[in-house]
Amino acid sequence: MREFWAYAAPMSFPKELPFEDVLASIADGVFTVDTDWNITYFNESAERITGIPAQEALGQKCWDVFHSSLCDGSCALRECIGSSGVISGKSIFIVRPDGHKVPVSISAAPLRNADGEIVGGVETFRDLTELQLMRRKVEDQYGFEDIVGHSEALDKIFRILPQVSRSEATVLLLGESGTGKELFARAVHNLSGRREGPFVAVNCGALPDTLLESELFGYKAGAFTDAKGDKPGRFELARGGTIFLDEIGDLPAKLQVKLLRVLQEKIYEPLGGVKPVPCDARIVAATNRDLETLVAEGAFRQDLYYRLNVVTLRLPPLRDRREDIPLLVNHFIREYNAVQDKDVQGVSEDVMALLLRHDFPGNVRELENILEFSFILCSSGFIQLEHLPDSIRPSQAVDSMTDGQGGTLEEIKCRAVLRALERNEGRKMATCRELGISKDTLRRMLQRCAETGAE
Amino acid sequence: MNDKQLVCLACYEERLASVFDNADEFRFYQVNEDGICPAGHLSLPSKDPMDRTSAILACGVTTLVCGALCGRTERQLINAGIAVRPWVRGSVEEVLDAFERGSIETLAMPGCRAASGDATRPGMGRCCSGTGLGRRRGTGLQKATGCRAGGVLKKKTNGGK
Repeated sequence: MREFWAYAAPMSFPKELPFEDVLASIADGVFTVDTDWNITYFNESAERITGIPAQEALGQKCWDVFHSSLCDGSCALRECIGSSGVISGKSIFIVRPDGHKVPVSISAAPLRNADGEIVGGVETFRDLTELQLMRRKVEDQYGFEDIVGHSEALDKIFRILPQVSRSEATVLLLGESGTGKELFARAVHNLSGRREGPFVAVNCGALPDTLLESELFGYKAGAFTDAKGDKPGRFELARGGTIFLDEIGDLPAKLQVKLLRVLQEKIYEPLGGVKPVPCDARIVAATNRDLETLVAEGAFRQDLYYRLNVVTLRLPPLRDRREDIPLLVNHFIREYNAVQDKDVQGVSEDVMALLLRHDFPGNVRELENILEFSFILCSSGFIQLEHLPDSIRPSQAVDSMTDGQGGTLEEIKCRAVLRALERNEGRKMATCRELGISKDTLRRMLQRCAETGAE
Repeated sequence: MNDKQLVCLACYEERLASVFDNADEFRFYQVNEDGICPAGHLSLPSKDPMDRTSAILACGVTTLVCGALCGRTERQLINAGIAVRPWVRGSVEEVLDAFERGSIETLAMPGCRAASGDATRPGMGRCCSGTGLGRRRGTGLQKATGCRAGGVLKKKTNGGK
């Protein structure tokens, strides 16, 4: 313990408040090691979190006490001592003697003596168990049917969805690919009076025109060669329920007319049929294309557009509801843990920061794919940067950060800092956490940016 | 103790891995009338505990000696019929010596030593319950100096974290 005081940075500290008492009273676990990795200090919180008494920990190799997912080859202390750097807010897990895995966030730094020589390292760690439990409770409150989110953009839709669903009105879902249009269509069905009926989904863009007609409307025996018997179409299969017509913007002109008749008169004729069949299916249509433009170009019938456009729900892209990303990440992790029988605790803080910065052109589907990929490489603990696909790795994030504007290193740094500040709505501590720098460094960088006029 | 055992050490470099999930190699040792002999090793590219359990079972392991082990994996191994001796530390050489002497509890990790006094203190967890695996002195088995002298086992190195 005495050695540790000698290593501690010189600071003005009230004599009546012993440094040891301060460290003993903080909620974070703190331990220090010498250059042989023997533990030289272990505070009370470290005892509580690891479940190991200080008297047993002192003098032992740190890996025999800490049992973390980084011990055995990826030691944070070794890394920061080797590089003379600091590691901050890395999410890992430790295994307690009672067999429980405890998620912790660690920070590590080298310890130097008065001559600046490295004489060991210090690691602090925070128990994330409570935080994770609270997060789960909060997440359970934020969702609607199977849709996860609590952003303002989604809240607006959630508020009107029950009323819309209870009506029999045709619903048009507009949104980019991967925004979860089918999920919303299912929600409309599940909340409607037709919930006991079937939900039939058809991707209008996935079938050739000739096949699509017989798929949607069915055919009668003898309608064409090899049509030996009657075949019910999807509208018939959806009787008493809901039919979801995805990619409606790709519907060929001939079928647009037929669909218009279904919408207007609630009847259709199967291929080869001689009398109309009543349609008893609610229609929910969706597209990622701009229907108004298609109408203006003559590629989509205006009357059909207005028939479909009774209730339109515009689904926001993920980049417009970034606050939902942590919820979605945890949702998918729980899902994959259950399906693949794995024990992934979450994503590390640097991975979350990276995901929050990513633009997600593929929206929720892209996020889901990223996590599915990560699950292949990571089976327990926290998903780290190295578990992510190459397409989203930090090198690319840095490229996008510079936006191809180039400039001196100082200018690039300034842009990065200012954008991080913007992303965090001016909150300096959050910006520091995202960038992994101290408050002082941030203050100095902002001062330099102001002096050089870099933006 | 069985007459013939296949013991697996979950290792990182030349010591037991501090956490079973972190082990980069399983080393196998045959324990029989002649003593303890190396019986091969298995590199572990996958960190999936399920893959590891499957590998142990596929190799016919009867006893696993390892470092920290989470309850879930321990239960899987025990349910699969493996005798598990977790929360052990030390170099491969030290562990085999202790196993042979039947005193593997001397290598218990901090916080896992024999409980004494206040049971509410930290360190009185499940890991304290040693299963007493290993060869006992006076059982009539001879120390396998022939096998152990084969140069397969190395002395403890400085093995990093």
